[in-house]
Amino acid sequence: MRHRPTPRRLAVAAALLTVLVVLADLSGALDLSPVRTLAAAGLGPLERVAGPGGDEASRLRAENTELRTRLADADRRLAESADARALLSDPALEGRPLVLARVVGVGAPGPAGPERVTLDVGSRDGVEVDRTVVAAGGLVGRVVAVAPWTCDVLLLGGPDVTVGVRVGSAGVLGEASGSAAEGAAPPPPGSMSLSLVGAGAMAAGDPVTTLGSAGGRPFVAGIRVGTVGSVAPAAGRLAATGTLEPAVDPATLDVVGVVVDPQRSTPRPTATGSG
Amino acid sequence: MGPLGLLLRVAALVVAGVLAVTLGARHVAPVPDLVLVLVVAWALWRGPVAGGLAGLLGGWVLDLVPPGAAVLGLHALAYGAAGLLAGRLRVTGPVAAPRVAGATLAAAVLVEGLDVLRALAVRAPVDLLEVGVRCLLTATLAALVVPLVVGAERAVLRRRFG
Repeated sequence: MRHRPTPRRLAVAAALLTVLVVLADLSGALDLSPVRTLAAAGLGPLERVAGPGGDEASRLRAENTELRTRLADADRRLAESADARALLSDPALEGRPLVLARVVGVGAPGPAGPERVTLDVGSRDGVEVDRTVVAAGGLVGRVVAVAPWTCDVLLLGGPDVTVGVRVGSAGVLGEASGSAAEGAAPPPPGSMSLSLVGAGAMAAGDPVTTLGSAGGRPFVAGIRVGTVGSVAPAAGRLAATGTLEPAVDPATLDVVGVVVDPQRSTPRPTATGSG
Repeated sequence: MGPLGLLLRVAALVVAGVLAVTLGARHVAPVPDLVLVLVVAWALWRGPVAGGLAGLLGGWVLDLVPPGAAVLGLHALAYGAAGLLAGRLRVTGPVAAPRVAGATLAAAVLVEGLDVLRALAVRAPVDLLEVGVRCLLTATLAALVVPLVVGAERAVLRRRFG
């Protein structure tokens, strides 16, 4: 005689399995990226269709409504091309190959706002994991997962994002993070914590740019991150801490650029020490 | 519930999950928790076990629909607990809007509260006003939508068994 599992047993088994998956993902014991890629490959195209862009006036709409829709669409396209122009004319991005993309999905918001977004470009467009994502105003975040048609971006300001930065005209080295710096209070919502790595000074209003990573991954150098919002009193600390006001508001993201590999074909010339 | 019924409910959760992320991309804010509304509807209709299972499924949808979650399964556990809680608030008879709103508010506070605790643990900022508005919005939407979902479930049941 066959026994069918009761709903209660099924629920307990599903919950236990989920706990195992969480533990495996947290500990890194199991690589779950194929699961994410599979889900993104299946659901990403759906988001691309349902997301902004590609809106066509319905044949069944009344003429007046159709004209209004077309006008609104034209305005949006104009704004987008202005966005794209502003992005491409940013001096920090001069000479960098970019793939222009549109935000088609915003993930479940965290306690201080959105933390992840989906773009309508993927591995078929040359996008890879750990690439810098920029908007016309500055740094947006970094690519954390790539599927054929879409990619997921971890936004600046999320608790899991830390960026090496240069502060002010002197280029003092520091670190910007979505969570509180060591010994400092958590930043207010919409801001990031900023801490200098060594002795140095910063003042409110100082520009903050990316320090850059080896090979430009995950962050290329010289991209505007924001400005110093406030500086905390250095009570017993060697390095100053403060808050950073990000240059880009994640709530208004639309057209962004993903910095891709310049595909260097000529190796960098070697230099010889003369000392 | 047959395989077709299960498939339809999973499809409804996927549609709710995709709709939520695409509304965010269209700069609609704050977006009510559409997945939680469905989970609460089924929890109030079928009880805590079905609510917990619906919550697990709904949470997995949120974990997997791009951009997904940083850690797979965390939403599933949170929504499973929320479904369980909402199912415990079920009473026999018609589902009144105030009870729906109350159950949804409790479930939303549980889901958002776990997120807030996670943020506080890593000393990340928390915007309690935004969190509160989202909970209230979800509860309001649920008060409108859940009676419709439960009505549809009743109609399906009547059609099947007369």
